[in-house]
Amino acid sequence: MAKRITTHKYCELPNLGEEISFTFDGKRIPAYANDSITSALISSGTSLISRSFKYHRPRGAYDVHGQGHESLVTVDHEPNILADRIQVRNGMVVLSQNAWPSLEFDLGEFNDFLVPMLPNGFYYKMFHKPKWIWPIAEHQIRKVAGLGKIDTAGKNAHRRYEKRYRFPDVCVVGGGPSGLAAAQGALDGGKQVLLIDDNPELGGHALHSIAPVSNCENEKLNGFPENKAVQRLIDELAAYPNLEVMVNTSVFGVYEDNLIAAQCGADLFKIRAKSVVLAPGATDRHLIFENNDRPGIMTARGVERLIMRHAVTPGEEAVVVTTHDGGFHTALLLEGAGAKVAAVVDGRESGNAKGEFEQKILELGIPVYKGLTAHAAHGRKRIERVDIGPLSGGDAHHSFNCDLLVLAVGFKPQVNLLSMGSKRPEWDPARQILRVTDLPSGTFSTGEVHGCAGFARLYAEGVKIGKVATQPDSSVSDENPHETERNADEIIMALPADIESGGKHHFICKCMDVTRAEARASIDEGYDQVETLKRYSSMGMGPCQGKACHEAVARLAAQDTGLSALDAVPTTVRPPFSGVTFGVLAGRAPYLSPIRRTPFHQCHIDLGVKFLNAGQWKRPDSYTDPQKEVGVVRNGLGMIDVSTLGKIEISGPEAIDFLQFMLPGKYAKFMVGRTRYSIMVGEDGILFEDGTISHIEQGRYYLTTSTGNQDAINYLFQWWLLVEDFNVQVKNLSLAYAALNITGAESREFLQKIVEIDMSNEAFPYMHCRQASIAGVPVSFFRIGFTGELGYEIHFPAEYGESMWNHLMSEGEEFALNPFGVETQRILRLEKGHLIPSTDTDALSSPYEAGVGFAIKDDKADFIGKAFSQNFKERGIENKLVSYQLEPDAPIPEDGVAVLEIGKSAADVKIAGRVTSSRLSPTLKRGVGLAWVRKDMADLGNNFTIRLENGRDVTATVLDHAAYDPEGLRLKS
Amino acid sequence: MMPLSQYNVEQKMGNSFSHLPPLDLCVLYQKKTMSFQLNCPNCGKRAVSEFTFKSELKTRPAADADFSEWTDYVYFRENNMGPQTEWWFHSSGCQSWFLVERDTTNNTDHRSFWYNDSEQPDNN
Repeated sequence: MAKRITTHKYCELPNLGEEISFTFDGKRIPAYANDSITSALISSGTSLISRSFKYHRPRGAYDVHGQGHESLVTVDHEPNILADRIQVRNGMVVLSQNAWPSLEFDLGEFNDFLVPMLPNGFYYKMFHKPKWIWPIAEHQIRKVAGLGKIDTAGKNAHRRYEKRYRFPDVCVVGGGPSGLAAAQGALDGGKQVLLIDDNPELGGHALHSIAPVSNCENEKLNGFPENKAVQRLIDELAAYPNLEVMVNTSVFGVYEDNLIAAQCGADLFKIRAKSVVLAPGATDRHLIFENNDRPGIMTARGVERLIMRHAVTPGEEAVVVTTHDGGFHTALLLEGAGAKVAAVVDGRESGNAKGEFEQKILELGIPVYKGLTAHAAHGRKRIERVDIGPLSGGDAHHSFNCDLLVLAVGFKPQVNLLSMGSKRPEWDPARQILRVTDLPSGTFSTGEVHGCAGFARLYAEGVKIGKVATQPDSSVSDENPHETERNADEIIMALPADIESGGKHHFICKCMDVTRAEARASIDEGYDQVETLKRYSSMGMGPCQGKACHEAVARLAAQDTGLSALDAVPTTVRPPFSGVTFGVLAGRAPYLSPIRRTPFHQCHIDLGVKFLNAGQWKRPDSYTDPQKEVGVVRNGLGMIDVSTLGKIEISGPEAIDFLQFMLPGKYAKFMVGRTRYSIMVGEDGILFEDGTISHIEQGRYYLTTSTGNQDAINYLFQWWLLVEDFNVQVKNLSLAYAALNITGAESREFLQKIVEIDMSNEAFPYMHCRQASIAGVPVSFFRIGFTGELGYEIHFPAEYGESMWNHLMSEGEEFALNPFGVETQRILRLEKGHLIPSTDTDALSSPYEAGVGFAIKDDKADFIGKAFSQNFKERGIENKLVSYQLEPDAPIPEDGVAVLEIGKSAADVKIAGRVTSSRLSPTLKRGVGLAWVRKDMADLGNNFTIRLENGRDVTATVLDHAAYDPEGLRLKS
Repeated sequence: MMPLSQYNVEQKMGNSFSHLPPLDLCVLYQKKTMSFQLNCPNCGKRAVSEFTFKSELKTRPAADADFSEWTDYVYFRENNMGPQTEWWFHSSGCQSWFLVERDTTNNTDHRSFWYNDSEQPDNN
């Protein structure tokens, strides 16, 4: 059994903090403040932490570092949290996942006995015949697939996520000896350094080592054990004012131009560094043998971490499988902690020079077996016995009773960050590891990720690379090589990828429960490339995303397909390196998007408006009932805030030429004081915008655009000005001017009362503009009629917004002036059959089909879209946008429903168009709208069928332009 | 299109597929997340997310040009794998239009300049 220790023969034990407790599946677990969930669970004798994905096999702590999936739990309602990485808090509620009815007794484990029946991709092959069985099977499979459950009602659903930014000179990722040394190297070069580590404290694996440091460049560190030396190094760094340290922060991606993404709690850090040093280190290599996934099998560094950081021995009787002196170091730590080390099994043949810790183990009389390795583990929820035998497989030689099997078979560099989603690691036979070497300029790497080992060497290489990184343009090359010198006995030879020892449970990918036999079967089925093999067998596609197994997968695939180790290229590794909470990526939406308010915003609020989000704008939707507001405009006097319109002033000697070029209309005879309807088309001839253009003063033109295109059209104008070289000035007044539309039969009478100019129909006719003032404020008047009533749009400097609104409201009291909103305006314009580009049109709408071809004069010289406009005209139309009305009392279609052509039988139905806008007209007491229909259905008075969302059909009648006041008498009166 | 040999990729596939880029090439140049810094001639290096891409630099045909020429201009892109000149707009910054000469396989190396400083393309 695992237990907490109070003394250790060879080192001091850490301070564990105060005593606290939390619950795991309802059971109270005592812990110390510095415990991780995993260490607290192990110390309390819990060896079973989770169940595997497919076969529901028992799983326990493995690397205690959160690289694998074994420690996924739900913490305080937040699912899929790695228990290895979470420090315990008093009263924390931890639940296991993927087990039913309980972790100890999981019915899903039945799957384990079905292994032969659930091969890879079984869902592609099984349950498909007879056909009716699949929907039932799929339902069951989906029910059991997946891990934690999201608690949408929990408090985390409303957690606030932030984005943060850093711009250091040098960003060092990894706080182990090489990362610390690199930081020191860069700091000594006078740079601003950001050092990031994903553990609660700096130091990396050196914190868990008692190997003495010797021959270190930094002489102050010599003579100390590594855990003390690294602490001294950290103390040295603390004295630098230019260093920022971030712990508990996991870097999950390195992107172009040294952009680093890191998560710390609920914060996303975007770090743009001049240069980056990656020192992610390495983890213990995977070993594949029968039942290699059983609880009680742990990595050497995991065991060292438990002892040195948490004062926990994870077992009483241990067997250590190793191929280097590090395994003997682990054995010594276990022995010093009071555990019985039954044997150390060394994969190397005898005859090698003996390492320092191997000597000590031999002196202690612990049996050492050479040239052997683990063949099989026995036991279900905890290992009980281990068989060992030769590397070549075959029969086992020995068997040991034990409750802990430690794997120390070499190191697997964490190349994920170095590969940046595109660079494939290559097998380096001299170092027996996968490496990524060709990093882009400004990105450097150092340490165990290149197979460098030993504190002194890690330090030397780290400092050197840190100094190189102070010059982002330099590179790691022949002048600045990685430490390559190795004595033959320092290289950790890789064991065979799999020990051929019989049994069906040699797990390659523990996350997805893929065994060696399944991988072989997939290769036999033809998936013999590492990429196809991965997709078919789902190896490396589980929660750890191949961190644990990608090297093993590559080597086994090479072995099974007869390739050499050099050709064992692993699958591409992409960000994120560690699991990232979706909320962190989403950030604080929608609050980070700017909100744009018109100058009348407060006036709207005072009137109890309902707002409408139009892009970033807050516009008044309506103040009361839009249907009633329509009546106000039709029978009296209304006012709407149209400040969100784009407003562009064009002047200069060539202003008229510019307009002739930009707009499809003709402006040669455009008199001062006139206003015209204008459309805009792209070079492709497609209608994308409409508005008005006014000649307000000699040589000064004023263009209005719709809300949505306010910015886009300004940018477009700027671009054309650049490439076409007109002598004009274009001024974007969109935000400088506020605008209101005052409309209704009484609008003239009302305005005449407050302005000095003659507003009569003769002096100021329809489609004209005038300059005047209201209450001393200069105002431009445009007599236009989007609503279908007599109306005036007034534009004036935005800073007078509120006072103008209040002035008009009080002056308009005797005319019963009432504001109305955008929804009301939509009904008003539909009664008049006015289209809104991009609401009623799309990227395929020619102006001729949309019924605004009259605004194109293609007989003039060059203009934007001329070639395609001419082509559209020649080709004629296929569809048409028509205004329609329904019978009184017919239900109102939803926007976007289909127009149908119904043949002889009810089943003979063809889609012949669609409704783009549809509203109930309170004026006409029936539905009105706009719809695209086939040309032959678009004749005046023709009937067509609209199918509603509920499946009912209504009949619509094509109108000539408008349902309300088709002759436009009210507009022009 | 640059010759494939320029990328030092061994042609590994059979003859029948020799007109396709080899698999490794696809992997080598698979889309990376766009995170590079673009150099604005006005503001200097800024995150590319501040900018809006318009198009490749193209010459607008004459008004009376053949309709097929106009179709090419409006609907076809060179989509070079290698260096190309593009229009960019600093939409979340100084709001200026400028040109960028960029190797599409390597965003990091590029040159930015004003349109007026460029050699005007022949207008024929």
